[in-house]
Order: sequence, then C-alpha cells, then structure tokens
Amino acid sequence: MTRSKGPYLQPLRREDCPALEPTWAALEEFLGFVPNAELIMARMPRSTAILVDAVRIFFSTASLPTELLSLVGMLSSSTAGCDYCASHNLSKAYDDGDSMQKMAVVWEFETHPLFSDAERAALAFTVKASSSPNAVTKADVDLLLTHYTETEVTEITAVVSMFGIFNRFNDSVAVTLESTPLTLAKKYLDSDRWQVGVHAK
Amino acid sequence: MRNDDGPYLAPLRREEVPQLEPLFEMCMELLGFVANDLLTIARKPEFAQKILEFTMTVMDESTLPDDLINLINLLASATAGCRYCTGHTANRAGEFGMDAAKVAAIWEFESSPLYSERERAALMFTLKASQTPSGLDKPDFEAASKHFSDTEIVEMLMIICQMGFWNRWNDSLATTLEPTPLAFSKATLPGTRWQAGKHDSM
Repeated sequence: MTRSKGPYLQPLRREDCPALEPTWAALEEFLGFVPNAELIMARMPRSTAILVDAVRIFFSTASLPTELLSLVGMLSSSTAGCDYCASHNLSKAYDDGDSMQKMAVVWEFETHPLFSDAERAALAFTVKASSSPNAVTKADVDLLLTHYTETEVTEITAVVSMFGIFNRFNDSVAVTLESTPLTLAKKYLDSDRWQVGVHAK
Repeated sequence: MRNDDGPYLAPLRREEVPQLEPLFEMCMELLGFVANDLLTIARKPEFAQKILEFTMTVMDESTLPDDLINLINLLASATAGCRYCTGHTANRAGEFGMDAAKVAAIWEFESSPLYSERERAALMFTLKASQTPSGLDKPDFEAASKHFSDTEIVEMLMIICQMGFWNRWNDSLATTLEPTPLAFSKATLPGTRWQAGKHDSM
C-alpha cells in the first residue's frame, strides 16, 4: 500500500514563532537550514527548544567520531523506514567532512572493506536496536563492549534512541524533505536503498 | 538465569554521579524511586539531564488530560514491544488514579466500554504512529482532526515520539524493572499480553 505524499500537518512559518528564534539559529548552525520537522513541532515551542538543545548537547559532548555517529543515525533511520531522517544524517556527515563513500555503503557494513570490526559491531547493534520488535541480545552488547567503553556504548545507544524520536515523528507526518539533504541523498545514495517517497515536495 | 536476562549495560550507582542528584531527586518525587534507565544513561550526564527534561516538558506543555497522556504512553510502549516502558507507564497510569481494569484493557481500547470515542481516536492514532515503519497516512490525520486540533495532534505525536526514545533505549539494553512498576504490572496486566521477561529482576 502506498501512502499519500506529505506533509500531513503543515509546518509553521519561522516568523510565526519568534520565541524560537534561538532554536532556529542553533539549527541553522548545526544543519545549515531550519528543518520542516521542527517547524511542525513548533506548535509545542518549549518542547521543540529542549529537544534541539538535547541533540546539540549530545553531539557537543560525544567522544565517538562524528562519522560513526552519523553512520549509526543513518542506518538506524533507514532500518526504521524513515528516509527523511536518513538523509539528514547524510547531510550532517557531509557538513562534518566525513566520507560520503562510506555513508553510501553503510548497508554493506558486514562485508565492505571500508568498515572496521568495531564499526561492524556498532552497526549490527544499530540494525537490531532500530527494529521493531527489538532484536538486540546480550551477546550483541557484550560484543560492543569488547570494542567500546561503557560510555561509548551509551553514546551509540543514545543516537539510536534519539532517532526513535525523529523517526516516529518524521515518518508519521511524512515531513517534506528540504533541498540540501535531498540533493545529497540523490547524488550519493543508491535508489535501491533510499527513496524520497512520501517526503517529496 | 537465562542468557537473555538484563541488564545488558549495568546502571551506575546513584552516588557515582553526584552532579545528577537534582535529577534523581526529581525522579524520586515523580516515581518514588530512581529509575534504572536514568542510572544507565547517566554515563552521559549532561545529555541525561536534557533528555529527561525533554520528556517532562512534553508532558507539561501538553494540554491533553493526564489520563489520556498516560494511555498514549502506555499503548506506544506496548505497540513497540518495550515491556520495561509498558510496565512503567501502566504503573504511572495507576498512580494517577486510573482504574486497574482500564489499564489492563489497553489492548482492547477499540471495543472496551471503558474507553471513550475520543480516547479511541487518540489510541488508534498512537497505535499506528508507534509501528515501524509508521502506519499513519493522510486519512488518519483527517480522522484525528474530528476530535483534536492540530496543536493537540502535535501533542499526541510528541508524547508518542518522546516514548520512542525510551522504548529503543530500554528494549535495547534490557533495563531491569524496579520493584514498584514490576509488582504493579504483574498484578494488573494480563499475562497473555505482558511478561517482564528480560526486564524481570528475579
């Protein structure tokens, strides 16, 4: 069954929510644009501001490389079926100067030579942790702990969990994808793996 | 002990993260105990603080009735299959004074006489939004609009989405249920629908 093109709720205009101006500025700095997702959420201004702040604090205190965090975020989103969020991770990786080639083959993490054993463990955990029902076993976390500290495992799980917020929101509302991540996803991602779908303009 | 028993990542002890003491105090006041998920995510203290603040702000900013908020959290967790969160949110609904029979009938919200039409509309929306991938389509938003304003629909979604954080967190790490929600859920929820499983402390 094909879903209708979104968005199922309209974004507010930025100028309609002046109280959120610091949040919009933070998003522009973080992503280079104000996402339609937050402009829809803006009907709850306090919650929107704190969510953006939580994401910003997560990335500013993370000890793992941005590349791994974006790989985890993209694969988590793709596994959950949110291609809007998947392309946002691609866009962030691009801004961070991380390898687009590696992002483009994240689905082949088990066999592709670009990935280390540690990255493979993190990405296998990501797929299982983003599946519903959850498929993580104790053995998966034990394996992670052979490659990462407990704090790093917390970071990996936190990224997967943060996209538990965004995947539900953006997939449920079929938020329209902005031009920057759209252009990057079309350029770098295989159409068998990524489609704009309900997020098309 | 089965080999899938949790937790897969141990909670810290409260005294190991003194900088989060205000957060733990707040959790004590809210739940009567310091939740194990909070003690686990405490390895990233600044983030732990913010993400819990986000959860609490969503509940606080929402204009929906407390009972409905609790039901949405409960069904979102049950749909995603996180039995830790299901246990927690069931317990919370009970603490707000919801009748145990209504909590236990959450899986039958469509047909149970304990649920109003408005609650049914919110819960059908919740059920679809909590599926992976999302089961919502344009007609579902139109159906929800008969009962809820756009702002209220965003509130429902944000409640469901904040739960999405904890559903993934607790199901991935098999967080151990604390005695209070464990006892409540064992006594209240139908065993055919809910088992503590890997979240049991036994």
